[in-house]
Amino acid sequence: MTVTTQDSFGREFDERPRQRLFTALVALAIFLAELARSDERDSLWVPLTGWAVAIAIACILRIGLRRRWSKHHEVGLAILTTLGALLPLVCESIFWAIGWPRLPLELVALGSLRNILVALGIIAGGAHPSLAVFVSLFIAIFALTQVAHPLVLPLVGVLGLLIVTWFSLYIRGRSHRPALPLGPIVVVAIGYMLITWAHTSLPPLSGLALAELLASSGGTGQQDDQARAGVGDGDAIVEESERPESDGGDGSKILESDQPSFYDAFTEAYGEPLKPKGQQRAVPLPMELVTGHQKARHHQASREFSLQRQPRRRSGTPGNREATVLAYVAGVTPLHLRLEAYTEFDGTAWQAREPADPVPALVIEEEHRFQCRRPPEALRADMVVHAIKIGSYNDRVLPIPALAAEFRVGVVNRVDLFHQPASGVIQIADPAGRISGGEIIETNSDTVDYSSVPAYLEQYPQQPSASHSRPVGEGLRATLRSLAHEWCGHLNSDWDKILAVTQHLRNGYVHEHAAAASGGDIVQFLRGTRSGPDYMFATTAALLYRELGFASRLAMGYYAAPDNYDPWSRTTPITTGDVHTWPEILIGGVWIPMEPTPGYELLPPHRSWATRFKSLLTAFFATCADRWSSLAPLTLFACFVWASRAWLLDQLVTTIWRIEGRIRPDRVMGRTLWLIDWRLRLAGAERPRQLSLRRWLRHCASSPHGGEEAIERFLELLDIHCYGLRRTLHPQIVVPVCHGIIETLTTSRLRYRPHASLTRQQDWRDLFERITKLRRKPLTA
Amino acid sequence: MMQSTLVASSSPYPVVGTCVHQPVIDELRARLRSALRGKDDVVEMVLACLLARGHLLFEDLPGLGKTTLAKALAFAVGGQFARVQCTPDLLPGDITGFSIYNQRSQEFEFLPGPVFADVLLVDEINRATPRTQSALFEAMAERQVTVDNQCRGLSPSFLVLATQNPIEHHGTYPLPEAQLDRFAAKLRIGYPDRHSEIDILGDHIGEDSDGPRLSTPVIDLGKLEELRRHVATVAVSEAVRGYLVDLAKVTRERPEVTLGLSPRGLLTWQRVAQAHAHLQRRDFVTPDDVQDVAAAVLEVRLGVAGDRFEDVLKQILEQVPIPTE
Repeated sequence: MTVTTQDSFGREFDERPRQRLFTALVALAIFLAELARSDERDSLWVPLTGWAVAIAIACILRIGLRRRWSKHHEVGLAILTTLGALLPLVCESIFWAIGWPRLPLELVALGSLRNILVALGIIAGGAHPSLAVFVSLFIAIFALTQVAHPLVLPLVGVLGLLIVTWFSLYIRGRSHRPALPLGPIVVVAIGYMLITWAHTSLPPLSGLALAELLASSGGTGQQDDQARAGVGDGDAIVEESERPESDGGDGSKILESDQPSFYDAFTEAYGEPLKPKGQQRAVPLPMELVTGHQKARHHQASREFSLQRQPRRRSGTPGNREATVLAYVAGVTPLHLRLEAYTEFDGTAWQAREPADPVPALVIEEEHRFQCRRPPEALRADMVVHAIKIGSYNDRVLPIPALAAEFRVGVVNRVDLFHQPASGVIQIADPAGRISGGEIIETNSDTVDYSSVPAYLEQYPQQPSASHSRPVGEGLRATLRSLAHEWCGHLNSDWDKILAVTQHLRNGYVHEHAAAASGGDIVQFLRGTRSGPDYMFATTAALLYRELGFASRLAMGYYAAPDNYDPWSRTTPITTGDVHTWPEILIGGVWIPMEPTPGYELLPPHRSWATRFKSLLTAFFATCADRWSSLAPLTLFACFVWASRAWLLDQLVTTIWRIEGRIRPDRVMGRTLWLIDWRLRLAGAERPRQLSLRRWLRHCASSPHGGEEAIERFLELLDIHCYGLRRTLHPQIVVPVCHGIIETLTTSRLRYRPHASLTRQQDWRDLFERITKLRRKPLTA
Repeated sequence: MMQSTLVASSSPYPVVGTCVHQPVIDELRARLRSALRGKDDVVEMVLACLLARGHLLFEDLPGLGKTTLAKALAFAVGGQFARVQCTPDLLPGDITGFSIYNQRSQEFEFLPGPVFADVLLVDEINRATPRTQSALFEAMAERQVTVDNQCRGLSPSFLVLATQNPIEHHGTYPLPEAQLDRFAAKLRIGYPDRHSEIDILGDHIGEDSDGPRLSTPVIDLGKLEELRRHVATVAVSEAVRGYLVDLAKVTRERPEVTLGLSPRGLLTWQRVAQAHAHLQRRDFVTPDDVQDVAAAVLEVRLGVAGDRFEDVLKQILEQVPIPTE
């Protein structure tokens, strides 16, 4: 059955698309409500099942109430909506009375809203649609701010589009406006992009202003078993200190635990550091001989003991896996967090050494931000922002990105609190100091545009530093020289040689994550096994870089892998398994990380949308300037096509009409009617469905160009075709008339020209009043 | 019997026919136009109702030509013409006739009333009491009257032309809906334009009275019946019939309409549309015919107040799309 509604312009339109849109909108909103009510750890089947049950119950109620509905519609709807809204509250009260676990208050309220939506949208068959859409919108906002499920964002986007489209049809039914309002759609698209940006770039949801406006069961400061993701709720504070979304700003507890430090993590990853023979055991001094404030407590003076650390005893019960997470990184990954740097290699192991060149002191800027040394401007791409939250990490060294330009640690504003043992390595000056658990280090890091390095090196050639080019053993040196010649001998550019070395290592060697680093033979690694840990890759690359004339060093730290990204918390956790070693090259006074180890990547140069747009414009104008002779005709042609788009489209459709007419001459009359209606729409004079084509053409196709006879002939045939039962129109009569009308009624002739003093709607009304011309208002005496 | 009524026109596209009765219709049209100057649309509706066997109700101010038009129509058709000037003391027997005792024959003798004429002009019908008005129910619907338990048939061409004055309320009785439904259409004439009024003044120069000029009939009753039978055969496609039904359905659903269109009203609408199509020299009805006669046909039977009828009619017509296939 066709369901039609009339707009105020007087045109009929089909109601079914709006009803279908409304049904889809309501169903989607109900699913979002179920998704928000379910636990994040639940499978997707849980909300799906809840959604299906709600829809099924609603359909059954709708069928059952259909007969009674027509009599007491509004009263029944009010009762049903009230019952639906109260049902979750009643159930919650019953659960409380019998001692069953209860739901947080906001989820109970969400259940009430869902029931109201079910009553309005499905059971009542779309009664009060504006209210139902409003409820859907509220549910969408709730889901967006309170639920971190990856499906929420796209579903809310779809819901937004449905609402806009439904609203456009709703507006169409009330006033004469275009069926597809571009303005609202653009606004929704921009809003969706902003929400997406906020969702992915801003701090987690609990910090969003929107979420603060919604009811939450957390934050009361009291112990509440029903609190949901609350911060500062009694015992929950201890749990939340392990969670990245719990901000330390509200006085969260500093985690003091015996979790392994970076030293222990490094030891676990690579084994015990190599101790010289004869120094693996030591003898403690008597207590009276020990001076200073660092007194080790011991009770067996002069008794020899081993320097090898005993492995930690594992308890019989499995530990909390969350406690092993050292830190959380929010921001773009992959990311190298530098903790140590070594410049001296003696042929066997790397040694830390005081830097020959003084490390520039930290500079503090506004808002407690410490400035670090930055790469040359020619090498920089845009900056990226990271926030590193300390978990169980317990060490002096700050885990900051290798190319950090500035960093901030809470409200620390004293330069002398930090010390730089090596360039780019920041540690707390106090040997007993430790970075606190729960502390957040905010950094702004540069990204290097590696494609601009060759040009920079050409302008500023590298000067090999003697301190970083200390000769190693002759055997190893010969191997390195041979390999450098073998891999880079045919290359001229220094940077190409660096890249060739890196690529050879990445492509020709195998990374063994579990292999121990100590005691490894580099020559054996290069010529024999061709496999080893990242330490071997980094060492080999650093030595080869030196062989090519670049100052290089070995850096150690953590690697935030993109594969470990947790979409729930939108952070990348750092665990002890993320310990990594990589080489660095000194370019422009800054140590720039390289990555020769397969499976590890460098942070790509970041480009903001503004930079990309600027680059695109620059490239575009450069291309235009270079090829103006060929682009100018193309531009003119494009302008012509745009200016003539209506004519071109009309020609295309008319050609299709001619071909159709040759194939099926018996259908030419109907297709001609369609084509004229199409041209009327193209000309902005769409025929109101309540007026016959005859009247509409006489109204708007009057023209001084003639052709009225062709129009009248066609209209006569059209009337016979549509309503004349006793005549058969032969194609030899119909086809010439149809061709005549198509040639006569061009789009330009049909261009709508209402009376100057009348709007289109008034003009149409005037025409309709003339149809009912027999009617005259009664005269009064 | 029907004869071949459509002949090929001079057009090279032999799709439009011409009726053999067209000269008579043209002459009838000219006669009515000469009686009522400058009101061609009203004349067309009068002709349509005449060919559709529909009774007509004229409603307008005094002196605008209601009676003139009715008398001109009656005389043009030929046949017997009768006129009833309604007053509050008019009795049903004054219309239907009554039996009177004949002392010579010693029997009751029936004296037929004006309703037994072929064309009956009921002037100022709303001045008659409802009792008298209801005397016309049977005559208008079934073309018969029952007097003294005896059913008497009327002329097959029986046509009622009624007039009423809308602005005088003292001593008037509004027509009941049942009687209104028996009229095919209600027409308003309105003031003529300036040019027509000049012609009217010129026509009456040298005449000794203001009354209508009587002349010979244009068409006799037999030909009129034949013409009506022919008009009844004008084709109405299923699309147009569906359009009519959809419109009728809308009238029944709109809250402003007191009385939705009845099936009898729907049949009347179709017949008037057929006649209108025939007057346009077509042998099939188009939706435009339906729209053209909608105002006259619906106003008399929807029960909408006069000042609101125009808006309601537009909304009704706008609500149903034109069928194009």
